[in-house]
Amino acid sequence: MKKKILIMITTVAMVLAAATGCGSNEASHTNKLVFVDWGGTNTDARVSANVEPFEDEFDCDVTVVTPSDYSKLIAMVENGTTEWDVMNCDAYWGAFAGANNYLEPIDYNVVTEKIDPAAQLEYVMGAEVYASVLAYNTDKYNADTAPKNWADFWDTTKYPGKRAMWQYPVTVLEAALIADGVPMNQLYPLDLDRAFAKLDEIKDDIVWWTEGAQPSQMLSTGETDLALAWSGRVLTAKEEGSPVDLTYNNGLRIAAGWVVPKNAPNKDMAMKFIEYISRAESQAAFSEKIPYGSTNADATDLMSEELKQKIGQTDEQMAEQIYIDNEYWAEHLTEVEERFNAWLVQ
Amino acid sequence: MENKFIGRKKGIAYTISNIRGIKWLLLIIPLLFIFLTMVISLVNIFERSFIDNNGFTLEYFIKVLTEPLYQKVLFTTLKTGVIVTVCTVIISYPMAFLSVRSKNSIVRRFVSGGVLVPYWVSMLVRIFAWQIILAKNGILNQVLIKLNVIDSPLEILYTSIAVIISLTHILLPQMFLSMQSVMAEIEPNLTLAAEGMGAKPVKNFSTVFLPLSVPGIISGCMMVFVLALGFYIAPALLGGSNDMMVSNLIQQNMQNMNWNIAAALSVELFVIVMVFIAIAYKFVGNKLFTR
Amino acid sequence: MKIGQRLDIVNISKYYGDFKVLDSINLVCEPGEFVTILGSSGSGKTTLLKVIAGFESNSDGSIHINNESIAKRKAYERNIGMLFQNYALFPHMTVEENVAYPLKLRKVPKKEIKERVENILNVVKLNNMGKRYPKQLSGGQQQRVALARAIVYNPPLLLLDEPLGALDMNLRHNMQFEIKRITKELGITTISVTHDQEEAFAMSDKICIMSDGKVQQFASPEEIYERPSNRFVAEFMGTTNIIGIKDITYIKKDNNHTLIKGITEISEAPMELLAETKYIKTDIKEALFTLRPESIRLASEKSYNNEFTVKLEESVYLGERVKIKATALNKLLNINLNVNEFRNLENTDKVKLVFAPEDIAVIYDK
Repeated sequence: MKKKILIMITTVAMVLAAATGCGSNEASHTNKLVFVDWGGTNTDARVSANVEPFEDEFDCDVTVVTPSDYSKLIAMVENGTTEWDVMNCDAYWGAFAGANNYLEPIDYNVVTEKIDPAAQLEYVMGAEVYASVLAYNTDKYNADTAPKNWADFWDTTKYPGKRAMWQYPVTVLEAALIADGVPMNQLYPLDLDRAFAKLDEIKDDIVWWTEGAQPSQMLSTGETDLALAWSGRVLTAKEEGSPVDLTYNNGLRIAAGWVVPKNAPNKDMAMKFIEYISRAESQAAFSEKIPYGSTNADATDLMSEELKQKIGQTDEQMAEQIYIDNEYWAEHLTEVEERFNAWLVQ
Repeated sequence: MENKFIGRKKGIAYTISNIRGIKWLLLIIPLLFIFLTMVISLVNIFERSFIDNNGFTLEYFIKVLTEPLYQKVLFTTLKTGVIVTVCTVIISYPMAFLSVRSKNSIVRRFVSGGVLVPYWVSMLVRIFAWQIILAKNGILNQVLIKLNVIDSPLEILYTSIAVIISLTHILLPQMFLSMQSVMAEIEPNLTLAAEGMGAKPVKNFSTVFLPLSVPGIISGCMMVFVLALGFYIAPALLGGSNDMMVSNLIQQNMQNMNWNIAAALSVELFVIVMVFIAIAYKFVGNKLFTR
Repeated sequence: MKIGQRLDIVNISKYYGDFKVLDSINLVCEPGEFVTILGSSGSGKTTLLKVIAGFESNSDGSIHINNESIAKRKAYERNIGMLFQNYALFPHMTVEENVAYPLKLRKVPKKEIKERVENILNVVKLNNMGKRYPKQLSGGQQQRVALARAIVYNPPLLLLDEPLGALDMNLRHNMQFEIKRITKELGITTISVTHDQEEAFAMSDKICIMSDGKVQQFASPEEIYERPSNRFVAEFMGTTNIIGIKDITYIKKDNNHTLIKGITEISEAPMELLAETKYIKTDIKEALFTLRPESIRLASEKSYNNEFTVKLEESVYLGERVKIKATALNKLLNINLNVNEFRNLENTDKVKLVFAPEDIAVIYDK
């Protein structure tokens, strides 16, 4: 009988232990932070360039969770069980989520870095920058023969074959309007009728992608010769030896940003983290490791010319690109996406 | 009180299973888990589909049922589900048959293994493999061109065909296992008996084996169809813009904080699945559920 | 109408590689005969049945029904009825549909199917069960359905594979009788396979004893019991004594019988055995003979020559008779004695016994 009781107690203890998560690493720092990022090489770069130095400077244990998940963040806030402190997301989505009361406003008393105003929002602090750019297969085209802008991209007689595009309205509609002759500084508010009419012209020539890695892959396998793709992904693929390249001309810059979910358990530490990771040194260290641009103007000054050139942040390159309007997308994403979907399945 | 020797011989599992009340505990824990995860979230979804910040509304259901976007996507989803189900039936049936009836044990093992081994490979890897095979310059097109079957590459990737091929591949084991378990229960003697009474092979199969394997087909169809309705990774990565499935829309609407629409879409799918199960139940009756 | 036909099995062999599962089997079943193939598992009896049915091919030899060769035909072309051990009823069909199945295959008109199904269900005494499914029937009822289905199309030959194996004791006795009645009524030639001796003896006109893929003896039950043709059959048929005899001299007694004199294992004095001449091989000087326990009696004053002395070892009362184990010159014997005889024994160390010379069967075997 004693044996049975012993077994029962052991079993119960084991269940409780598993449930409460005891047996995890003991804390070596006083503060705690749960940090959510997209994973992969981005996160690897961020952890070594930013997170580890932050842990030492702020006496803080950072738990890294991947990937960023919009639905999960919303579910957590809805159910009052927020576990995340800071998450990387697209800035327009952050603006959108903030407007719907899912985020804590950024505390600009703590975060005082010089961030590009286009990427510095009430609920989002701009972090790294990438752009929806025109990318091409280098076996098919070289820098001279490749299309130079979205108008060329739309020209199916001069550049026949399939082109890959993001199955999402953001930057795709902007590209269509630029191709149709709308000046880059007069894009917003988007003329949706005009944009969809322009998209109609090449609808049959488009292969849609849904994951960032897909367009580089489509280009290297010859599935398509041209693509609207994210610059960071194309550059990474190029460095790995894939026959792909891009032009920053007509690039549509998207800032990824930091958001703090509503009722985050370590909200103060999250603000300190955002301050730290927005510093010029932090952003430059990150860009050294992975080809993403920065939102801190001072960070650019710390970079070599070569790096600036690569990530499209020389003054000339900046002049031929434009930041997407996060406020516009925050306000209109739902309806535009619905219309975009309806157009897709027409 | 008890024989120590026996107790020790039967081991710890036996000892634990004899603890008073543990049977109930073992029953209650999973039931509670199912209740909490399934029922509560289902109730929550139902609630969200017709209650928003302004109280009760049918707005979302009306939208989901009447707007062309949602109608078309639902149609695509059901169509894909039906085609994938039919494909898995056609491919699985002969394989399941061979795996239980082949006289050659190597064939039996080879067939089962061939179907089930890919099951252990991550779904994303399998989707990626199909991308490589079906691409414009992929293995399939290269082989077909080498064999002079076609002149220019077929466009399969990023079309419905790619979605159907990959979903068929992913869901094949479900259909196979369902069929196999029913077919394995069919006594080989029945076929011999029919043969002895004068049934030629085709007649024998159609009057004995086929009708007895129907419950396996139906339960397999239910599983595959229901699972196919819920897929969104394969359609997103392999399909074209026309292959958007309801689950893609649900996911998008959740990202956009359109929880009411997402919930209405979920309820719609849920009801369709329930109706489908009810019809299947009506057709095969208790056999399917009491087996 | 008698539907049974004659079956000839000629030199049937079957090999798996070098292993002979069936070794030159020869059997003849006359029309309407009930033949049981009796053997232990691995004897080849089930394989032989499957070869006859056409479910397995034979490597050599031929099979004829009514002088027509069927060895080349597929199972579904042979028109043979078969009753499977587990009945093999179709679970998705009612009793009627099961029984009608072979008739439908033969494109019998619907009306006639109905009549014949009704008739045969009467024969097997299942008149009211037609609409039920096999699962709703008892084991015995299921077997009747299976039997009805196997004979409804009047096959010239009926094969039974361990027909009673799945039934409990009481039902088994009933069904033995029923199956025999029905097959005799229809005059159907029947081959049954079993490992159960009692069943074989109760039902059969002839019994074929098989072992190691060979026919050991094919004869009437009486003959098999009384004149086992070799040591295997003698031992297989139950408790008997097998005794060696040597230095044999053969003396012709009359037209049909021969007297055998020799030294046996159970006595130092020579003994005399009497056998039918046709079973005798006069050139062989050493042989065996069987002596049934009940053929041994206490010696009286005026005994025959075959007197021998035993020492009792063990006894078990079985009502009127007593089963005894005793040794005669170190040879252990099984003996059955009347209870009264046994009670009168005084000196159990030296009991004089005797047997009649004709109560034996000679076996030329080792």
